Amino acid sequence: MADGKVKVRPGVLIPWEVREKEYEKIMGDKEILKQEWEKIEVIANRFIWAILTDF
Amino acid sequence: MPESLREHELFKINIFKGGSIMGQDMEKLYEERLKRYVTALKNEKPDRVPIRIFAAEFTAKYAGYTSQEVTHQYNKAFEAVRKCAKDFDWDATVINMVYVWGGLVDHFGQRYYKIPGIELPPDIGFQYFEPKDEENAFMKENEYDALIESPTEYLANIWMPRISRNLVPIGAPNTFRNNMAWLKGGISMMEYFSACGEAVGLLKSECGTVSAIAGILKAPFDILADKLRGFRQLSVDIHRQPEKVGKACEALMPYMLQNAMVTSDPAKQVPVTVWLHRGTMFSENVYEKYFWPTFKEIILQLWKNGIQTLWYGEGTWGKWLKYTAELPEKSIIYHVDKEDIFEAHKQLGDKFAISGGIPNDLLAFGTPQEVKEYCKKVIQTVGKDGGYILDASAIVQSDAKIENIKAMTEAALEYGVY
Repeated sequence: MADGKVKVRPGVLIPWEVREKEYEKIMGDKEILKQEWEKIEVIANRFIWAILTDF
Repeated sequence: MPESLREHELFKINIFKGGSIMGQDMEKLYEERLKRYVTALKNEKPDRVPIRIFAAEFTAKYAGYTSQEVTHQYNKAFEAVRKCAKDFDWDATVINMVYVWGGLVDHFGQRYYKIPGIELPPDIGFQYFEPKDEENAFMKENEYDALIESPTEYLANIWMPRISRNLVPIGAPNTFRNNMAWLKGGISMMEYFSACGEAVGLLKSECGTVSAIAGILKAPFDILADKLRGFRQLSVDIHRQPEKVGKACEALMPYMLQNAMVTSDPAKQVPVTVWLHRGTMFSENVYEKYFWPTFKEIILQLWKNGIQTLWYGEGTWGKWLKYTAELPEKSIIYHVDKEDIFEAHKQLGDKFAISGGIPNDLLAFGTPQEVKEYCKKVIQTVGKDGGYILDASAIVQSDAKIENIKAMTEAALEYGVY
């Protein structure tokens, strides 16, 4: 499990819930951070699974 | 999170690039072909039997390239497919069936491929090599629990360092080579997928040809039986630790489904393809208990989301037709490789479209007249009421004669009009 905390779900590598807790504080819009985090997550996750299923 | 990778902004730029420069005639041709293909996929009657060829090294031969060139230089592979699509009037095809890009293999370092121009002569297609014993297996017999606990972490932390000659396992001293392989592997895949998006656009704008499939699926049992445990090792596991095999299939299922979903066609017009490998090599008991339940559930979930699955049954899947028939009407397109296409049609034709079934040995060793006659027979029986897509039994390699591929098109145009 990622950092021993949250199980790595399908489509996710390091879940937003894990990353969110690592910020000391968020002074702006949390949703912006979440969206950008998850946008790259989906591609990076695809890399892992594509090596298994495609390449 | 984006519903589909194809809707992701990094991919969107290229995917629709070709569409903007299409002439009106080409656009009309594309729309006609898309309608023809999609109608047949739904097991309905289009204006004509669609020609949808899955061609790999054949395209290189036709375009004058070596296998090494199309394996390493993907733009040549895309170009070779477009040349075939144009010259043979294909309604639909795959932008590149030489699916292993040598550049990615070189940078990331997969051990299981032999690549033309490196370990193989330049005119031989790439080959997959599977470890033959436990000592060399990429997943060890005592690692089921780790896979079941967290499949993605298992792949990244344990399996990938084994299958790559560049990566180091967790806990071993890090290396520059390890770091660079992760970096270059990721960059390589991004570059290739981005180029694939552009190739879909060019296939449309230059040839008026439909990109035939979107999305990839492997059955959980199949992936255990090839890239994870391998055939020999899994054959032992189903006797020594059958419960773990079952649990591993269950654990892999949601991940294989998610992988298929994110790579599927956002318009839900063309199917996700499942490349079926090993299910028929085991007994019915094994198929029923381990292979079928999780595989069936994935197909049902995809269908629930409006996504068809192209059942690309490599080898002979006819003995499992009673299981396949359990699936909802139109949920799959049943592709015939080595089994009797007429029998498959008899048993499944009321529920699902059928594709393929033109023997590759006939394309390699037969005459154009023999190919035309066989295509005519298939079109006039299997395709009598629609729901048939003309294709070879298996992916077309360089052994197919050019005149025989041409004869397939002629047969569709002469005998396939409704």
